[in-house]
Amino acid sequence: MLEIKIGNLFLKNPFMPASGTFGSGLEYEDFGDLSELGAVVTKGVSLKPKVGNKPPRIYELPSGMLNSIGLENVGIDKFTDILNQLKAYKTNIVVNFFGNSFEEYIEVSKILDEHNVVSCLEMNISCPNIKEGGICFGTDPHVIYSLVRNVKKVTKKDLWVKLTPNTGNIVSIAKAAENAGASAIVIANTYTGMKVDIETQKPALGNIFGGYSGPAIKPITLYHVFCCVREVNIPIIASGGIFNIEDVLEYLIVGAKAVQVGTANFTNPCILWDLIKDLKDYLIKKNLNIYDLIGSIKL
Amino acid sequence: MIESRKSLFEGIIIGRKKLSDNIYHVEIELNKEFSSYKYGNFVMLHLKEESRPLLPRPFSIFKAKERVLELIFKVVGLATNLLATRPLPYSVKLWGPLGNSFPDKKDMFCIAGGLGLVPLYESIIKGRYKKVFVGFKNKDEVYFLRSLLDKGALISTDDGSYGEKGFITEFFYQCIINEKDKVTVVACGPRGFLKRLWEIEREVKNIEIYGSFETHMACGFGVCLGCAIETPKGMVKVCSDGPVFKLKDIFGE
Repeated sequence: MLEIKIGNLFLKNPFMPASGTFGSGLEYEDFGDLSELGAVVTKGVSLKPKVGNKPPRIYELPSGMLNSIGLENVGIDKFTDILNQLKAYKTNIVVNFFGNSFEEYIEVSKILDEHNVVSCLEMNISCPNIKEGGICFGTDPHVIYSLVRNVKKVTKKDLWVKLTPNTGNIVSIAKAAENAGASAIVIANTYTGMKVDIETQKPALGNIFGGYSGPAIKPITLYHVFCCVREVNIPIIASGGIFNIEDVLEYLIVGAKAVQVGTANFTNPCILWDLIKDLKDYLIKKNLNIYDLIGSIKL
Repeated sequence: MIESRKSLFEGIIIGRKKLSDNIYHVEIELNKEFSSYKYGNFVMLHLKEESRPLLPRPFSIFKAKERVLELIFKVVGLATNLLATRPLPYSVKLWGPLGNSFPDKKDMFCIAGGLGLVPLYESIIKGRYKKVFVGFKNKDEVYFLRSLLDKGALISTDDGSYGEKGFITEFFYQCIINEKDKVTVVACGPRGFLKRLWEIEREVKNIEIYGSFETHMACGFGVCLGCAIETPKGMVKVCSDGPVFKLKDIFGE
């Protein structure tokens, strides 16, 4: 009833965590059986270890949170040890990765391609392209086309592309990723924002700005999903401000095939398992299959 | 290292007592037994009935027995204000025990500043320390006075309105400089208080101080990486590398 297919992947249900809010998954072992999730999406990994940004790294706002963690991670070498520990779980392991150059993206993809534990790669394109003066990869359709195409050359695994919403042309980025061979699009990452302390007149975050997430962003991301569904044929995975079953249903109704839960993992570490149950209960009550819901919006 | 297995609890605040000026004690009835915890562990508590604050807050474990968890907090912002004023019974969500714990060695000293007494109190009462130092801002902030005096604690207030007058760190200093044997010290209090203790440690040399730190955090178990603080040895996560650290690991050798 809850099963869905995304590219070559079968998911028990449409629920998975958003990268960076669930560690490697192992941190959540005490809260639920990871094998029950549609997929586990691991924290973004890069070729070399990354220490991350200067603290303070989080700031809470009335309806969301700003974070500037800075993609802190142990690097691909140490990460592969963690991957081996995930073998025990009967779910899809989706590895989020990023780079600061084409070469780094390709190197990491090659290494991940060799790991049987990895079901699929999720490419984070919200980072700066150091060689091109630090402009975000994810804002130029030509760059994305070329990046996705080159990564696809080195991996047979499915490749999901996680878009940044901090661009005026998210639909053309989505199309570029599709044309270059992506299996699915994840919409979207956090919204760039900032907060100033009026007493000290300093930015609240050590990094000055950060990514805004939480309930506040849901209507905006929902709109992006709505726009992209109309223009691309590959599956869309929605990610943005999901805190309850109503949020999930809205995303499915506009056409998302699966959802990622991010910030809500911090307000309820069992939320993914709770949502699986809630969706099941809803479908039973309405006597529906999940595919009856996906894209069922009435305009 | 996280020492106990964490789990999620549904809780109902069934009792609340004002201990002093703006310090409250709450009793939370849990839906299941609280797992064994160690002194220094904490829980993350989420006000699930509210639309704000969005994120949970970390609280030191004051006491936990069977299905009742007790916390003590000072009203400092939105979350603690709601915890102090919402009508009871009041439902919350919480998870723990989280973080590492204070060391357990022979003949330790213990020093607490203000609310830093909370995670140390039970171990003080159990007689774990050779000497106990507790400092408060003023007389209005003093709580659990009788039981502290029973344990022979030295008590000071910054303004002298109760006990000795002055910062507790200085009374600790006067005492520790005369110690001949190596002493392990456990400490909890504001950052400035811990920093002063670190200065004392550097001067006296024959002591090793472990302090419990606090910062903003979102998850409480090493996932969000939001609680990272800078140390001379690099970033550490207060929630899962700590909250108890050797002072020299945070401030430097």
